[in-house]
Amino acid sequence: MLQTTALQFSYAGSRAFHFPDIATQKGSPLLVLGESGTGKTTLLHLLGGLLRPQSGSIRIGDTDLAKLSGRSLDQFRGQNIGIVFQQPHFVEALSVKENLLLANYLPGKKLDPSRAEDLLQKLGVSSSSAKSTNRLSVGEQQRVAIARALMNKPRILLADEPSSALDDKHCEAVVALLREAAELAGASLIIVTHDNRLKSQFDHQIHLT
Amino acid sequence: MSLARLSWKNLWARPWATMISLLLLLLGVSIISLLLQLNEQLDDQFKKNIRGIDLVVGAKGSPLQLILSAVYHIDNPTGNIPLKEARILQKNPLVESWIPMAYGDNYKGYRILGTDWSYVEHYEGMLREGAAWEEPFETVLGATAAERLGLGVGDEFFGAHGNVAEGEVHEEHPYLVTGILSKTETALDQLILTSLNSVWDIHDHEEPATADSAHDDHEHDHEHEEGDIHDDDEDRDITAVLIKWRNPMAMMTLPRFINQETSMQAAVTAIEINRLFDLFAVGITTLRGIAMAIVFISAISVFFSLYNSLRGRAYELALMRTMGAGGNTLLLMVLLEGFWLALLGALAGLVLSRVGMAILSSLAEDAYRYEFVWWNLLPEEGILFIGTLVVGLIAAAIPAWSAYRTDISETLRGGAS
Repeated sequence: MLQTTALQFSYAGSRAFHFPDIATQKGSPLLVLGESGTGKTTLLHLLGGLLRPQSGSIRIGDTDLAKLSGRSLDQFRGQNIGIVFQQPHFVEALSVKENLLLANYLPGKKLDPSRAEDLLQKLGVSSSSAKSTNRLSVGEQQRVAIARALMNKPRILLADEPSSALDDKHCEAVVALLREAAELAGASLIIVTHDNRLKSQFDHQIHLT
Repeated sequence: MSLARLSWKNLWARPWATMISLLLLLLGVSIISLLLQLNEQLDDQFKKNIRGIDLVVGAKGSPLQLILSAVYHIDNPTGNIPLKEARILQKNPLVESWIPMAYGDNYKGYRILGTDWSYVEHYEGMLREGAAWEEPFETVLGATAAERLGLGVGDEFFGAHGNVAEGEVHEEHPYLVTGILSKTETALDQLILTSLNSVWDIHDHEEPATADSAHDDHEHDHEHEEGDIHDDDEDRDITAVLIKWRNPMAMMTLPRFINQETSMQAAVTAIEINRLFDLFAVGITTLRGIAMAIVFISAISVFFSLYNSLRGRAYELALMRTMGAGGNTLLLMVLLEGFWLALLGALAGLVLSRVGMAILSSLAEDAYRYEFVWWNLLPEEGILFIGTLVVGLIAAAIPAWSAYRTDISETLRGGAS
């Protein structure tokens, strides 16, 4: 599904990150573990198409993300990659449902309100569909953010530090939720974190050093 | 979901900043629009009524007052002049047309003006109903006067003395309405017109002891000849004469002749009205400068409002990029926010200026019986409208550009920490 080779990136004036090659298989979530400063967020942004690597390739299906730019990169990202950030953010002027539909609109896809309702229901937040996003609890916000990431049936679901701010109980629940959601949408789940509690829950792991 | 809707919602997600920008825009646009309208209306009213009148001859006094009273009917007359003297001008070869007028009474604030039918013809007045006056105390009403006074052909009314509605009422002589004119959009609309004889007669009856009373019987013999003025009206007074000269050369000689050789005063309309406009111009220019400054400040306010909101929304914008929005989408979104502000401000400003004009119009009507046409859109207002939109877009341009250049990765790192 996703395959990287010889990925390399450096910020101006600092040492280069060389990332190990990554390959995901369908149905097998990947955990990327790393302490601060190991290029964790950089890798996430590279995989998400938010940064462009200096060298190497990122293949998703038949497309090399590293070769896309401009509008085609924006569109590819919007349609194929769902990202769940550590802190859920939304377009505050819009309601929950409108935020989900925005995920359809921005990469130029047809609006799919029934999928929005469906996802909200499956993630247990259908009652907040018409609410303003800042009226939700943090847990609800996270669920809505996951629903939004899945709106375009992405091939990859990237999660950035989903559990680091949570206690043990909620940590497990969130990881379970992400696995379930990825499975539901047929997406490959990649979790990037420094949270060692997740170690035991994944067969497929990569450690950044 | 569309960009237009999204930008609209973004605006109202921070209602206070939006309202302040809007208020400033609205204020600037409405003041400019009001000034444009006012200028246009004054210009229009003044020019329309003065057309074809080169010279106003009346009693000595302020020339501007003479013109304001005799042409626009918004001031008191300077006094009376002897008809005999005014007649000299009628025979002057430089004079093309000569319209006599005498102020009589008023009815509920609408002036009753004694004149002859050439006055109506001058303003291209047409009878909508009824017929011209023939006998004394028969009147023809201007369209607005008839409408506001609720008078129709065949109705009778009593005039009150002078120009004051509360003046002494002449109860012995009712006026009869014989005709009503169609609207001309000139001073004619707010007048009650009658023959010169009516004006003379009513005051003869009132003052039987004056020298004029000797003429009374004599006078009545001739009244049946369509109110024409005859040489035996020699001792009569009138208020003013409106003169159109045969060629502009008359301007050099005629006013000087009248002012020096007669007891009368000649006021050249072009000179006096230009002087009046110069007075207005100072005020209008000042106000226009203030309004421009307000529009400028509102543009800055739009700029800061958008700029601030974008700083607060940086993470949101980066998020939209991760969801597949292109940089140009964000650029357009912010430009649209500026556009909405300007559009709303411009529309509300034009509406407000109309409300202002309606109020001014009703004030002017109460005070001077003049109505403004306030609902039509001037070409300059079209320019003002488009100009405001451009100002809005320019104010939004810098914030829009910074939205366009949002560095997704960097913004997300900043926001997450």
